[in-house]
Amino acid sequence: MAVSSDSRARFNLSRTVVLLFDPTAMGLAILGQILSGFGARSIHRCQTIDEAKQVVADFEIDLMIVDSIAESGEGYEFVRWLRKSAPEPNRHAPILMTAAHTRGHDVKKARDCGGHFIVTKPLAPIVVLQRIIWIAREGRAFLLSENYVGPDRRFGKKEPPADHPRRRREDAAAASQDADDAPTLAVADLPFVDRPLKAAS
Amino acid sequence: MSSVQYTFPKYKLTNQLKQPGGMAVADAVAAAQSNLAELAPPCLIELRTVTGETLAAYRKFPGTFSREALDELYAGAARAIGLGAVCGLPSADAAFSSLCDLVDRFCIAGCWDLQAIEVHLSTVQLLVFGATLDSASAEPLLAGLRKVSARYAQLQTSRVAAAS
Repeated sequence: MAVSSDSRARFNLSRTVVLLFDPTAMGLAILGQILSGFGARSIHRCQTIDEAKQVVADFEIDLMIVDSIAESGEGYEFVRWLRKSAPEPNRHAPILMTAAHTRGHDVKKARDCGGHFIVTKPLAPIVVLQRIIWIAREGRAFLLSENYVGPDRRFGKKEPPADHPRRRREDAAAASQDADDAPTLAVADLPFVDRPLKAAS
Repeated sequence: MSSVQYTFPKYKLTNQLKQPGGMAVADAVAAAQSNLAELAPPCLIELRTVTGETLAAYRKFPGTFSREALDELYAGAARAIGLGAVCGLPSADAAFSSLCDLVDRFCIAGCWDLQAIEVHLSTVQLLVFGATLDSASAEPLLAGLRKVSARYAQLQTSRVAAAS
């Protein structure tokens, strides 16, 4: 169950270093106001990919919120670059993507760039917060392959259908590891998200 | 055969969220909403500016199909999405989103219907510059736009199928 907007559960983003990337000044201001409201104090605001790459080179980032840039899809390219070429630990950083609209030919890019989640605009603060918490809690495996670097995209269904055998031997190992390593935010008085695949707005 | 490696990175974010102090979800969401309210006046100005630019881009449309002209229109419409919700005109976001769907379908299909674009732009103009409509009043307009846009989803599918 997703965290609701009237929940008294607490969270702390005051020590989180955040990178915000949006090519428009107003888009960046909106993101900044939302994150400031959540208590984030260390926020790097970037309007160009070059600025974002510089911040990634200079700082350890705990959370990135990256706009896809609807007209060109360059945001996806940035995330792809980050996953393949950025230094550790930023290479594995949690990335929440935002998208005003996704063009037909960008759907594959959006799926394969390596972001953790895409939120469509207009942004509702509660949805942004739900996704941040979900990303932090989720403990998804991270894949490194020739064609894809990023969080495991097969997260909707934990188990294969009962009448089907597991297709890959990694599934068993991943499931076991997942159970061992999954973050346990719930014990810290956070009755947080289970699988908020559909968010309340 | 390509190999796949699995890792399980530990995010600092996970521990940071659990640190003592911080704030309650309800307070954080209220603070974020309050911060966004501060942006409402400049956001409305920006929305009107972008809408004006989008309308101007359409007025420059050539007589025959032009991918570049559609791309310019799309860029303006996409830039506007998200502004309406902040300045109290959420219907504008929905109208621009429908326009983006429509323009993207025309780009893929390689043809356009200017009337369909015009009806979107007229609606956007009404929602942004005209009398303020509440959600219930705007819904029939938005439903009409979605219907227009959906009509061309079929065209897009058939063109893509024919090309492949």
